[in-house]
Amino acid sequence: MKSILKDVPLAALPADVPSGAGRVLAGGELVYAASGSSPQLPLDYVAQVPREMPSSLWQRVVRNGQKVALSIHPVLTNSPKLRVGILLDGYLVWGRRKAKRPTVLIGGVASRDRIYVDILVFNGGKLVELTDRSLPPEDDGEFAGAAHLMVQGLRDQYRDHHIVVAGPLGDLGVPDTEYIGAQPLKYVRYRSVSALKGMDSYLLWPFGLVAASAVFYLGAIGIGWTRLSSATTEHQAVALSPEVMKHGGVDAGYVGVMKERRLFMQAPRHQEQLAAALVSVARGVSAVPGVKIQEMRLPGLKNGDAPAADVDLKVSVPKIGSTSLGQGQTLVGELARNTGLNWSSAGAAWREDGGRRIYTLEGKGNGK
Amino acid sequence: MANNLTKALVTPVCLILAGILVYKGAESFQILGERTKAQQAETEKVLEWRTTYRALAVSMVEWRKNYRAAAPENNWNDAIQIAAFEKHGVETDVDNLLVSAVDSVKSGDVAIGLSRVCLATSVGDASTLFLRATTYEQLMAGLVSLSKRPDVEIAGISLLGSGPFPVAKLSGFCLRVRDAGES
Repeated sequence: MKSILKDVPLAALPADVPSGAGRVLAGGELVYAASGSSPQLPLDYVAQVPREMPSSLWQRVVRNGQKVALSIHPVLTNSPKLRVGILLDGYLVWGRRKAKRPTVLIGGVASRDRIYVDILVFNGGKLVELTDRSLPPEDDGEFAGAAHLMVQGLRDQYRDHHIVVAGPLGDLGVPDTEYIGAQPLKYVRYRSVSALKGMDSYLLWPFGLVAASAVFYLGAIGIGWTRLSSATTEHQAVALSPEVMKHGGVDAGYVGVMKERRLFMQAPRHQEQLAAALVSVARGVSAVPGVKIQEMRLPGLKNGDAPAADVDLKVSVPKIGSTSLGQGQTLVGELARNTGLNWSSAGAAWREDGGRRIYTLEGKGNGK
Repeated sequence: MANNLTKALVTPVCLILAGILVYKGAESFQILGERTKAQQAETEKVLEWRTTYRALAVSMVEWRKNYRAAAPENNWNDAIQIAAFEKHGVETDVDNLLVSAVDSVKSGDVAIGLSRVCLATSVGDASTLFLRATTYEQLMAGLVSLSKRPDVEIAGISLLGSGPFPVAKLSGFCLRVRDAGES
């Protein structure tokens, strides 16, 4: 029997494991595998993620399948550069995928003084049993007999099962067995096994999830808190501005008062026009020859329901002409020319006072 | 067996713990976010207030320039001093001067911290103020300059030409003064 693997060093014993970088396909004493509810594994070995026995995810769920517990020799975890493949993994995958009918797989690895044999029984793609045996080395005289005996025993135990022999074992030379060579080995994945990962790797993803959640939690609070405190700082900066301090905070009422004050100051004031009109009307009236102002009132007094005139005017003029009316009409015309207002008589429009006539008139702007 | 139980419990416990952390984290983030928003809204309000305040502060300078802070209804001399008729070239009969009315000025139904103190001559109907000057020109110039003062209100003016002096009779003559204590 010769090694069928050229590029990968097979290892059955700790001494076979290369130090430093490289690849190693581990079997024999380097790997302990067991199935069952509470498999016994050597304590000084490094536990690995248990292998699933059912083939599909669906089967794993509904059958609550047992797992193959796996431990590896610590020497395999010494170097992170060493990439380790587990021989058993290849058999398990092959069995799940290829063993459609009931199959007994005989695999294993040889060391100098013995052959470590793994026997895996598959049914419907599912591993139903896992055991290990050992055979004398190939060059020992008892090898052929022992191999025959072993196969015969399996054939008795598992009737109607197809029996295959897989690499890296050679063909055992026993009739009615199929040699599948290195087929299962292509399913082996080589990866480095660190002590940490190997130790409690089944805890890795739950703990990782908790750690990630904790990071999320702290991050969310941290970011939220940072934003809030920057908003608070900003608020304080604004709240400390002298205007705000002076009024002990936002005093909406005071701003309202300020607005009203401004409106009040901007509101047009009639009185300036009033004084200007007083000057211009007085000048206009005085320009009429002989006229003396007795009283001039801006604005005029309200007279009943009628709107007040712009100007109430009482003037005296020297008596000229026979009728008060005629003189009054002339006067009104002259006043209108000089002041630009329309004048009319109001109430008791005139009276005689010695040599003068006194007229009471109302003046209105053209708009009225 | 205990070891197996622990192993079996690790995953669900971790899942629950992770769930709580994620939920609490999201919840806290949301609560803090809401508080941040509220704080920012508050800041916005203060900023808006301050902007308005600053814009209006210019008007307030004008306000203080326009109106003197005083309570002349309590101090008769103050009223004469504020009116300062002599500066406008007119005079009044101070012996018969009285405060005819005092009220608070409102704008848009808001008391704006300004009082109206109305003056009158206590002769006749006691709601008019008599002013006189040497000439009509002087009297009218005085009336024009008085009417331009922001702290003076004049409702109506009568010019009397029948007496020995040029006399004006002002109705609704009031002084506007800032209330004491108003900023």
